[in-house]
Amino acid sequence: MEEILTGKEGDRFFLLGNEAIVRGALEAGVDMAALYPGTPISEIGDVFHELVKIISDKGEEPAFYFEWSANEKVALDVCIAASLSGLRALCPMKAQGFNVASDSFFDYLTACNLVETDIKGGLVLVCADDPGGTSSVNEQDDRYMAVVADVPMLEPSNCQQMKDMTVKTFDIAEELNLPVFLRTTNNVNLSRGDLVFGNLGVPRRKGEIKGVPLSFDRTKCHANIMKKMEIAKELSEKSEFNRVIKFDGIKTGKNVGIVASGISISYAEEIIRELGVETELLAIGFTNPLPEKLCKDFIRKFDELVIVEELSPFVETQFLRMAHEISSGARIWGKGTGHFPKVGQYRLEAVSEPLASIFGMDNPMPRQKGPSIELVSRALTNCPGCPHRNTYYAIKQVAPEDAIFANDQGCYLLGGLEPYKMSHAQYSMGASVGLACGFHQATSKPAIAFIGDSTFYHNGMSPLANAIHHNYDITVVVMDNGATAMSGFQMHPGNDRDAMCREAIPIQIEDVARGLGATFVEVVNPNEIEKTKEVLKQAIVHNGVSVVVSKALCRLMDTREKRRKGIDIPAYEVDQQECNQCRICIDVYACPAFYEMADKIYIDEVQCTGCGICQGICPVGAIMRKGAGNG
Amino acid sequence: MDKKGTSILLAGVGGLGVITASNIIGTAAVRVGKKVSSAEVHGIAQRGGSVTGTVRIEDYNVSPLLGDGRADIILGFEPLEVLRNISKASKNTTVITDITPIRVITPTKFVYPRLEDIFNEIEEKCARLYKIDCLALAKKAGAALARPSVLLGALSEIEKFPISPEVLLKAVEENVPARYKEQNISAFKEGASFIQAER
Repeated sequence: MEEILTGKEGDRFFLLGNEAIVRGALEAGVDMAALYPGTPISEIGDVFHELVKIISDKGEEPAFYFEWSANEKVALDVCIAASLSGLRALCPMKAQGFNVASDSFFDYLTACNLVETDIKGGLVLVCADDPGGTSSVNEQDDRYMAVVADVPMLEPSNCQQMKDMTVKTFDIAEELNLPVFLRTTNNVNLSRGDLVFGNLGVPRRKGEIKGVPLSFDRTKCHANIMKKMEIAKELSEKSEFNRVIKFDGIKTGKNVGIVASGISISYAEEIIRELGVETELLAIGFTNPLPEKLCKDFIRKFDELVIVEELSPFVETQFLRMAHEISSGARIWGKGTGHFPKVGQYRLEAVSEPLASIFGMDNPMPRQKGPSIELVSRALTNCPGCPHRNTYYAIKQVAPEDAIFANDQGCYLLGGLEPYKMSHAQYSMGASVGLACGFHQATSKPAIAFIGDSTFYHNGMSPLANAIHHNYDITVVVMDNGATAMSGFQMHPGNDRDAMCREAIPIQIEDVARGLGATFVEVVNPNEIEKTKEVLKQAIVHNGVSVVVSKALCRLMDTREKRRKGIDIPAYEVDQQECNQCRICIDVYACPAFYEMADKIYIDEVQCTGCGICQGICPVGAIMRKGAGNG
Repeated sequence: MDKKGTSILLAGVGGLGVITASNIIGTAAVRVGKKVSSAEVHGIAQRGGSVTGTVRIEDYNVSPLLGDGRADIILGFEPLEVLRNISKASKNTTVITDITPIRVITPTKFVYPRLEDIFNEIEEKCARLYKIDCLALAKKAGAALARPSVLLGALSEIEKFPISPEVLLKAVEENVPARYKEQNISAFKEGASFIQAER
């Protein structure tokens, strides 16, 4: 990791896309970065934090400021202020995070773009989409946000470009005095590759703010942005990130050109080589505004064009328009013609098949058969020893049969799956508390909201204030495992240190709830299941908002810490003589350290984290401690 | 198409070291001047879900993902996960896999297939299958946690693998916790000797 800080110009390294962004930011002399973690951008923050640690350990002070903000809107506001003060700021967010930040983003754009003379530090938003939605609630295509907002957008296709474009976006942002989108997708953020470093930049460190004049002339602001976007068109036209790649090969007799952007450039390039055909690829990296002259010249060269891009036909529809404007008769193959899907992350095979058919060739990469043995997918579930499982196990036994469960975003949402199935609805950060209020009002049934610690700080406090103010008869269970665990154990306002390794004021969730006026607030340790059940029972019958903070450190963090300190982690096993196959451990408690083989239940020694909670769950006392080991 | 490079697929379960191993291979490849593209694919869960990684050491720009039939080498951290990704193999593929199953597939009532059936099908669909008891060899080397290093040691002895054992071992040393360095070096050597003996 240290090489991100110490690597010199010309050095070559193997980095994660997100690490390359951090190096790019340092080469641009970034002054400030702020974000809320979320796949696929979490590692950008993890790296900044690690660099702070490395620098601090040397007794030096970092030249940049980094914070894990409470949510994306706060992160963006912090970064906007840095930019207005003349500093360079990087604000990464996942697509759904942009939704949270969008309120500030759109309003800031018009409110702060009054006068040409404002000198601002470059503001770069890394907007990371998740085609396939493996780590997100939807497949939102944020490229359209750049169009709605009228800001320039660049899209890297590999690790080198992740870094190079990060540097470039800061320059563009300052040249135009507009924030710039660096739009990425999961497969570039989370891919690794070789890249060559440039020179480190020099941060400005101290900003100055003259103040933004208040005006209500919205059209003037809007027009101002449009003027800047006219200049952006010229930048796009001459950008080194838009280029035509020529391929020698078999002459197919077909005059086909290919257009791709983002990660799809690598898919297109690989399949063209697999086909071995003579063609040209227009690889577009500066995607808003598109380099129209370059695109139109490309259209003129071909009888047929193939557009390769994940998700919506963003580039494709603009090519259809451009072809129309120059009266080109070129056929444009893409999503509109049914050649490519609008859904999901592309696989190479999804690009290979249509490209081969358009060139009239055999598909070089046909889909192969999977295994003949039927394989069930490894179901999503909380980790072995996870305290969330214990909270759910306790609630399951005391909640009224007609209770409605509103769930939220974090590891605990897995409690919505088999066998607990404790979620009637879950979608965005902090929605559970408002949902519980609405469900209770709509159905008069007992409503229980589940929310995590980080999610509570992110967007859970206003809905709790709303619930308490209206005296809703709901139960709010805050599942506090001490970190933003799902995205990789990042810090949050409940911790006593911040991302700059300084002392921080830990905000206790129970204090917040009491401060807001909740009349029932209790803290429980979910690993003590019987006590937890008792408190939950009282909470559910309590009239008005009751808040139970179920607090125990994430088991993965706990185990890691114990290993680091050399503390032995016990192993457990099932005594086959005592076990009566009641299956409570495997089917009801459902810890994924249990497995079944030849009608018997066992504990997997690799999976077990040695928490021992299952000993108390087993009604016949068949689970025993093996002694030291596991390590 | 003339194929010069080497594409490796790593398949396992979260927590077994797939991502760390991919990083180690990629780092070693870049160090000897190769062009590398690598991806990791996993779900939202921190542990227990299926995980795959790719490391593609090729001469030109390729996707970090791997097409069907395009794996030159499959490095298996768990047998069922190798089988799950068997569409990436061809009759030219070398498969090296740890033999210890993660039988846990909760909360379904699914029972893990017979290991023998899994290995038979893998063997049928590839050029060569090496089955290694990495857990036993890692324990022999002094730490069960050093399992991935056994696989990496084995990988370093495969003919199609374009990086020397010395360079790969150096990357291993730099990427494991200092207090487990010696055990990982021994585990690496155990893996290498296993392949030398089998070959």
